[in-house]
Amino acid sequence: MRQFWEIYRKLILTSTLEMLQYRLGNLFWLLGMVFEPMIYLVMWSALATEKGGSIAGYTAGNLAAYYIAWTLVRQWNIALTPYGFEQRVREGGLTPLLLRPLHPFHYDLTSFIAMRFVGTLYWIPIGGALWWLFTPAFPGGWVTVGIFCVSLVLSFLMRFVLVYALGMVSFWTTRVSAIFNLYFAVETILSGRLVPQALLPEWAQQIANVLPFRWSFGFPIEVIIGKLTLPEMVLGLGIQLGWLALATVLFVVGWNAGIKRYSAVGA
Amino acid sequence: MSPIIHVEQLRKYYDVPIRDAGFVQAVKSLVNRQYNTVKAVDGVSFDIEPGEVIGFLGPNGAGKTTTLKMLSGLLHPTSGSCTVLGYTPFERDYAYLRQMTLVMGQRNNLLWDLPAGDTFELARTIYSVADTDYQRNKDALVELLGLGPLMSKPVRNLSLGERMKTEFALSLMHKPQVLFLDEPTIGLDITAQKHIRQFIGEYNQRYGATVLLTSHYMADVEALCKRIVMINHGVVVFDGALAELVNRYAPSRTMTVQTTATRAEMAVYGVVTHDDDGTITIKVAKADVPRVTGAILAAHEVTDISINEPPIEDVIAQVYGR
Repeated sequence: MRQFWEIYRKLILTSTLEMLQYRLGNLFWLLGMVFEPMIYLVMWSALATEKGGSIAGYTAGNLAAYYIAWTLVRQWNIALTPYGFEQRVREGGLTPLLLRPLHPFHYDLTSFIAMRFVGTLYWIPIGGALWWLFTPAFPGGWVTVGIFCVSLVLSFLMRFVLVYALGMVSFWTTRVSAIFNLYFAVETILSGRLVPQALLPEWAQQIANVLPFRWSFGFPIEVIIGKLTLPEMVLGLGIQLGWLALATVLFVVGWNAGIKRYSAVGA
Repeated sequence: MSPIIHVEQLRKYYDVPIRDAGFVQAVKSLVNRQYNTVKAVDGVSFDIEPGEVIGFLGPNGAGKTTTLKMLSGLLHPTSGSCTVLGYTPFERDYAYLRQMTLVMGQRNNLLWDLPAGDTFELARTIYSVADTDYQRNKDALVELLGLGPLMSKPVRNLSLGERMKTEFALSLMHKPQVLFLDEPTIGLDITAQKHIRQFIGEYNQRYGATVLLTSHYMADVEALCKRIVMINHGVVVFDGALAELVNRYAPSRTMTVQTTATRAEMAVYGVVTHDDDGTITIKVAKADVPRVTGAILAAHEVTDISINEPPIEDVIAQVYGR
């Protein structure tokens, strides 16, 4: 076990060193990511003002807080897409990873953890600037911040494993972009990325609650902006853990079956 | 001594979709796809003893790489069996992966943006190499391949040859006991090829490692391999010493004679392949060499005579063509 953690430590360190090579690239990438929520923020704030100061319980301050937290959660939400995995299977990039005495999953996970560390470093001044510009309302105390941090890490892990599990489809066919596109389209609408969940129709909210998307994106934001009670937050963490467990099972089953197929048809 | 690599009736078949060219055929194949079974490896058997360096030869598409991939655990065989170091490769036991390496011509394991030393450090951790062993292995590789100045440069700043040498060293950093080398010198210039070739020989001598090497450069094979396993169309067509291969498959020898005799006079003894200012080269059947040599020396004024085996490439091309 000590050896395993040593491998994780070393992989994260090495990936962090790699990330730090692209200083300007990282900055522009993150700045680009800020534009999307700012558009939503301006639009919904204008609508809230028009409706007499709030919309579905969200004031301008709530919306500012939502979309500022959005930028951090989105940064933590990035995973190895099935497109990336598909390319790896199609072009043989998986082969050298299979020759190492380490599951490729660990290699990928650690490199994405490193990306989160570096991304968060870059996010701090951007988040500070947005705070100063939009005066958001973050009513929560330290307990909320603590739960937010746990939910942020769980949202990353559950989405990473879930999307990785989806990538296993590439072992059977390397032309499944349509499936992935549908997945990401539904995720964009139901995760809270486009609009806070409370602004969706009731039936859409019910659907969002039983799918994983809200729990890997909107939930941590709702925690930090103080929209949830303590029992709701604790329940949400439990749901995140449940999805993480289910995603892990799907990934393990998919991997075990897929890798046999990969090595049957040509690595 | 029991073999370190045991391969018995190893087979790998693929079902490959086939169709004729054209739009109509493309539409037809949507509803009625036809498959062809390709027998990439079709019953290969051999044993390799510890410390042997084997030249694994065959024309393109003969099944060499497929065999190496099965031996390194990347492919499941369709049937038959193989064990390496007592492990079944496709089970991909980490203890096995720590003791072997598969080096393919086009490699890309070095981290592009970091100095090579950082990738070596990472490999040390992944392969669980003890600190003292790591330092010793790395120093030996750096010395043997002349990598000293390269280790601290970002990989993106290395030339192709430098990068391939460094990749080669990286794949051996954990001191594997079994090396599967698939065209290790492909794309390298003559000097770099020579370095890699010398290095493989020294590595084998120093650590007693077993090497299974495929290469289209016969200089690699002649310099390193006493034994050849040759496959074609997925089956072994020859397994034995290099010298035996030449004896068995080269029916003629080349005689180069420095003489005052004319081309026409020499043509009596064999096929003249070259005639240049008193130096005449003739091709003579292997069995006739002693008789022809005696006859030439008795009948003509000769200042020098030499008898050569045909180039190994010619011998191998002849076996491939059978």
